[in-house]
Amino acid sequence: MTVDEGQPGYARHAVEVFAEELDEFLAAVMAEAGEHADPADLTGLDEPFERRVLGTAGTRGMLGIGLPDEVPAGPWLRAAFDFAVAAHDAPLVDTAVTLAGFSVAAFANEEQHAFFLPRMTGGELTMCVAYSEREAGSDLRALSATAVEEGGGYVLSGVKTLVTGAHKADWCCTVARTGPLGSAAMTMFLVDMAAPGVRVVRRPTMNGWTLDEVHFDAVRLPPGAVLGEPGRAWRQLAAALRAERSGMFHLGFARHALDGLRRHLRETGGGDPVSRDAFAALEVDFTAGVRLACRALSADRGSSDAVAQASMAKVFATELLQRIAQEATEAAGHQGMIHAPLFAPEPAPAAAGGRFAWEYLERVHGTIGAGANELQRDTIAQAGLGLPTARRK
Amino acid sequence: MTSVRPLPPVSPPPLPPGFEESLRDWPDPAAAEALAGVAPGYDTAWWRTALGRGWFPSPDRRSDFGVLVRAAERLGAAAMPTPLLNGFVLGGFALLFAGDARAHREHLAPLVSGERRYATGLTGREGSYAPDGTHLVARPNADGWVLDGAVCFVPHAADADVLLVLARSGDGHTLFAVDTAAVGVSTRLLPTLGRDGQCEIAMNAVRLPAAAVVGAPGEAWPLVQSAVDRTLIVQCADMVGAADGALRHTVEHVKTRHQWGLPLGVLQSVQHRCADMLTDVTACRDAVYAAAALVEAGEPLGTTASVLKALCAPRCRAVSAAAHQLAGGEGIHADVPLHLWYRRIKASEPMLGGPRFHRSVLSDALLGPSTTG
Repeated sequence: MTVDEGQPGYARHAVEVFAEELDEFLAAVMAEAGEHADPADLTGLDEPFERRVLGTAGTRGMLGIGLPDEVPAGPWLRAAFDFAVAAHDAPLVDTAVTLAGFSVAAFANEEQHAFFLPRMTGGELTMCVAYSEREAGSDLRALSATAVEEGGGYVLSGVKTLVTGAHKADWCCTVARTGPLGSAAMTMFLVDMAAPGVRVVRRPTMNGWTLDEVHFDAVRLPPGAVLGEPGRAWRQLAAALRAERSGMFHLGFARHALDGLRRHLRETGGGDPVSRDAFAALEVDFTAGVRLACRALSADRGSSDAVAQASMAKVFATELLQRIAQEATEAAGHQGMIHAPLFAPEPAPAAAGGRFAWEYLERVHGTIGAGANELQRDTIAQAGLGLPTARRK
Repeated sequence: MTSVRPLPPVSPPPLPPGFEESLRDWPDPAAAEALAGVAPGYDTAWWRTALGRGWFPSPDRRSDFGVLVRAAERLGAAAMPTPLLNGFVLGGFALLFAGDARAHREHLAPLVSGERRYATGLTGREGSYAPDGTHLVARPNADGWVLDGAVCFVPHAADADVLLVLARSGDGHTLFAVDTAAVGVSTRLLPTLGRDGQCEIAMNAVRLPAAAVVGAPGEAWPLVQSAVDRTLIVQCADMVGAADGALRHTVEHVKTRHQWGLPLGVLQSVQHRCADMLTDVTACRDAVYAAAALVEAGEPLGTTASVLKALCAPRCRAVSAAAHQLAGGEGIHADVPLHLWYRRIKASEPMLGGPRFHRSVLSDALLGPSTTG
């Protein structure tokens, strides 16, 4: 069957075809993941394996699927990608495209465009995004890293925190102050992680993998390192935030965890009545999460409606993940406390091979990162309902 | 793995011309108060007009199901009592699915036109929607059937001309169309918090001709369940409308009511409650129209209706409760519309199965029967 891209059924058809291809690809490529476990990485997998999966997905045109936005069904294809890779535990959730694709596509000059985009979508290079600092999380105006103009280029200094995958990234997308402290004069840069003065400190998280600190010690950047316009990083970040993904990958994680809970309950006699009821409630909320994510994807990009919808999807999905982890561990009792990293051997008598305990520790950060849910709720109330904005200093 | 395909949300269809204008004065606490005191508990003149103008598409117009859903959402927001859900949607779909050509001619046509008023009873005094929750018993006799027992919790039944009732007959269930004037039928109004004119209808040795059976004897259960599934979607639309009405009322209040010189809505504690209300309403509404689109496309519903009810009942209820909390003491007065939405959503909770029941339907489907007791 072919469906013309102008037809109403096109998105449905395109998503169906792509999602099937993805499921097949991911099941095959992840079959040997168990031989490549690395608990110190967020993906749970070692870097050579991750790069191999990335390269294969890139060669098959999956990483750049649905880009740019104008491609018919583009956002829906990208959402299908986000969902599937998360549901399969594939090391494709945080790729150069998913992390920095919007910023590079929207703000890169011709030269950068030509260098980065094909390599990003081809799965040839890895990236990290380094925005946060100790004293600047959701409130990025407070950041203190500086980039001082010198000899036509810049000298970058500062320490970035909460960076995913810096230890294996080829490039870093970062933001530094190019004006006085407290002003909005900030500039976005693309930094070669192999440049002299770049140092990565790996800091273990509560769940065993490391989040990284990136230290920039007077790193000399060429003029071509500027991404977008000097002094405009604040607007660029806001635009990137507005283009934030639907959060569909949260729902992929949720699907994986719920399927695990379902298997566990079925294998233990169908579960007690309270656990069964709780499980059904989570399944119900999973469908609600999918509806919210789809609503967020369909809103007019840049509209206040879209901003509110994206926040709703994020809040709902990240809190759902925490509730799934709680119900799964509580339903499994003692066996639910036995923890194993992803892809590690299953320690008997763990429920779900130790995954429930892993989920319980892992899902703490979802409600904090990418704009804490408290801020998201502010956004929903203000952008979605027009409630008055409290003055922020 | 359970597959999920992200797809664009479904846009609600427009309302029929004239519908919106007819609800101009609603929510109208005074009018609602007046209707609540007297059977059948709804504005019969408005209802006749609505049917006369064809505002509610007949259940057999599958591609117009979304219009029915949209109209129900609007009525929920208006908090106007009508027999739409029980008398029109549930009855209409039950006749459509369980009935044969004769039943369609004799009953579905007059139901849709408003020539006769129908009310539909599926459950007994225990209010269970499981197969053993039917307490009306039908026994065959020489001329036809004899009905004994009661159907309960039938909204706006007091002015019905015909009762569509589900009865146990041997091992199966049979749907009957019973004239309310038949000997042995007595109706008693129940003072429910929803003020939806619910009745208990007792049937004491009611003798019926064989022609009173709708469709085939003993085979009604699965067919009526298909009608229940569609009605649940419309019911959830009604709840979403009511929750949205309560949310809008709340937003207006917190923007305009000042405390210590600032609007209430500037407070984060208030904003976050409002944010959760909007999230709930949005998720429920999108789920409603996604379910309606399945019906329109003729796709199997599976557990869709149960998921929807289990989603909308608790979340819409929470929205209406939050609306009261944010409205403060002002909101509990009967001349303020908040209680109309609060009552309406709560009244829908057990009707056609509560959230616990529908979660059990879902867990049975996904987990199989429990063996742990």
